[in-house]
Amino acid sequence: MKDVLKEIKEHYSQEAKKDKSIADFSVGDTVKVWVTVVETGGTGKEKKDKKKDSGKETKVRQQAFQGVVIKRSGESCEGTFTVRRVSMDVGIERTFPLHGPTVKKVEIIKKGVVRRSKLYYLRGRKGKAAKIKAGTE
Amino acid sequence: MKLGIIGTKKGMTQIYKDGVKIPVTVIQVEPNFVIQVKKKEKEGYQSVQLGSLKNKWYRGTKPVLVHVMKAFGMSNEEIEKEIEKRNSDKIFTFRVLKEFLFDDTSAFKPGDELDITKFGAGDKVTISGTSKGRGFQGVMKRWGAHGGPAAHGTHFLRRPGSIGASTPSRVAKGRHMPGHMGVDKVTLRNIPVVDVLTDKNIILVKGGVPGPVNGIVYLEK
Repeated sequence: MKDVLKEIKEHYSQEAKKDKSIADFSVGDTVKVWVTVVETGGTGKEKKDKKKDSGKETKVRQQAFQGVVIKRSGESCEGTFTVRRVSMDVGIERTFPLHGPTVKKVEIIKKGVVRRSKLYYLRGRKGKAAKIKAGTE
Repeated sequence: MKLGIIGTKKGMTQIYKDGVKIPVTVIQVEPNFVIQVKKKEKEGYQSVQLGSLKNKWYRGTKPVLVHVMKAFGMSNEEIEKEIEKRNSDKIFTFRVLKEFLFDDTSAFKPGDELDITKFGAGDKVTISGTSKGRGFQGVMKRWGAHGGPAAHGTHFLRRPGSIGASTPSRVAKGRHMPGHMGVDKVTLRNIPVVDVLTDKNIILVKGGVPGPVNGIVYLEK
């Protein structure tokens, strides 16, 4: 019997991919994720005081987040991936939905070769110890 | 507008609509056929009996087989003749026969197929199904009783406790006790339809739906 649910998931994942460019990356790759950020102007506090618009215009821009993919989970339209980067000695991990409207573009910076599907071991490592063997396309 | 359709629950997923992630249940609608049309003049109310999920002719009783095949314009003699053949594709029954109240039955006659184009995104529907069976369960799972303390050497853990007072020295009717749980008819009202894929015969409704995967659900609008 055909798996109807899988077919439907695939249908919506194809639809979500339409105006995006998401590279076919895997765990261990270094990627650059372009995230849509909405700037409302002013701090959050101001917004609370005056419930109406603070007068400043809202700006939509693309912000890049570059790091190593340490995890991929879910299939087709339920998929997410987690990117880890170390910035100023602080590890930052962000999980993105593969087909969410905020992620517009994912590009591969460097391919990596790893033997694990989840790279949680990177969390306890720094510098050279956290290096991943480079792979070919 | 009032109408209904028979579907099968296929599982849950999530989709994005207008930038918002929505949890949805995928309901597949196999072809629904009109078996009987009840009219105000004859039966006193308006409804349509639908059949869905085709079965082999020998899967039901003969009265049901005749009732179904007459909707497709076969006479008694023709049905008898097909039964004689023992292996006929011309006669069949349905796994599900279900009557729905319709406010306009004039457009339907027995043998017609009902398609899902009558449902659209944004509709509010009523969904009924049979909940998953839980077997024999205690009062904590079945009725949400709190049970006893878990520590300090108590032996009163998941028990129901007192079930009544010495007067009237009988148990009040409707007292919550352990017993069989699940396999009940559960109805959800005002459930939004998120999307309808007419080419795939799929209706997506927001949130969960009672019953197991491949369970029968009834959608009414």
